[in-house]
Amino acid sequence: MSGVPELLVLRLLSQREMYGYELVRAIRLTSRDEISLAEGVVYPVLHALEAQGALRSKEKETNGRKRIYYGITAKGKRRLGALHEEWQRLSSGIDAVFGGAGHA
Amino acid sequence: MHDLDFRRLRRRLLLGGVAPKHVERTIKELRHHFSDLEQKALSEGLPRTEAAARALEQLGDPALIIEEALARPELQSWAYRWPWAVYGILPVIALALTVVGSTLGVVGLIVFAESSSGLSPAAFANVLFDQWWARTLLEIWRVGMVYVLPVVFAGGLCVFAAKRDASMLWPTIGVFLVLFLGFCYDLMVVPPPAPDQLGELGAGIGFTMDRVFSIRVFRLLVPLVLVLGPYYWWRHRQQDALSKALHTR
Repeated sequence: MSGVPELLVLRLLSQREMYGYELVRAIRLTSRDEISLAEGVVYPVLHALEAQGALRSKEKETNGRKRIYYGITAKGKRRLGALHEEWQRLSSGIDAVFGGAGHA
Repeated sequence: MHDLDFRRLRRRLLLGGVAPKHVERTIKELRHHFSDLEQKALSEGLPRTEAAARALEQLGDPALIIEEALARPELQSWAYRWPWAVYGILPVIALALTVVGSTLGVVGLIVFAESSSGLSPAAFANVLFDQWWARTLLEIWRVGMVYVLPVVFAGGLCVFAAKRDASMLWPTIGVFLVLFLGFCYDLMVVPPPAPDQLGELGAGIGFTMDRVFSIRVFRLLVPLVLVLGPYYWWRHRQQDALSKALHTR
């Protein structure tokens, strides 16, 4: 669904900086394996968000290997708020439809 | 992911118009990611081939990664969005500005030196052109601007296009336009004809179909062959190497 990868990425990166592999693990862990994506797909999402100014990146060395860590920016936080609101509206709309269908 | 798959992925992203900086970073991060997945599988006791296969599966179908990248206009390069501007117009404008800027710079330097010397313009011109190093420097500058600079610009354009795996059309047009501009302009450094007269630094643009035209046209043809020849050969080799690798896999 459009916007879902962005929402997940922004939400998790609003808690702490992560690199791609870590981020994918975090998505699986926090969604209790309900959301599993082709892991390589996360990079175009990260790069696009960075190009929009929602994320910033920096290279850091971890366990002797260089990693590109991503963190959220102020613009990214505003984007996260907007996406979350949109998601809640959509979610409550779907709930209403299913609830309504149950009463019919 | 097999190294060849990364090469193929890289090429398809470039052909799809993704900017090289994003392509290189995506490939680098995917390689790291693949290595992490493989290490995890190895630490769980899987043999290397199975670990690699599992890592590959988890990383996802390259077609999905490509689809995701191509769907994002933020990742597209300027050269892909406006090839006519990047390959056709910008190099011509850049060359023209470099020549004009450099000429103004040389004129400014001479005027500054003349006003600092306290000599009359004619006397200064004679003193300047009496110096072998001044004559040599001015000639190097003139030859560099007229003959070398257009070739450097055209060659740079080819390298830029090859790195982006761009189609051949626009870079070829761009090279022709740059070299044609180089063919049309000329710079002249004329020493003072007599001790009481001024020297001349001239610039002109245009060409005439006179009797020396057929000789001068080599100034266009030779650089064209010098630049486009290696470029076509390089691109042909690039494509050949990749298709050979795909067939022998």
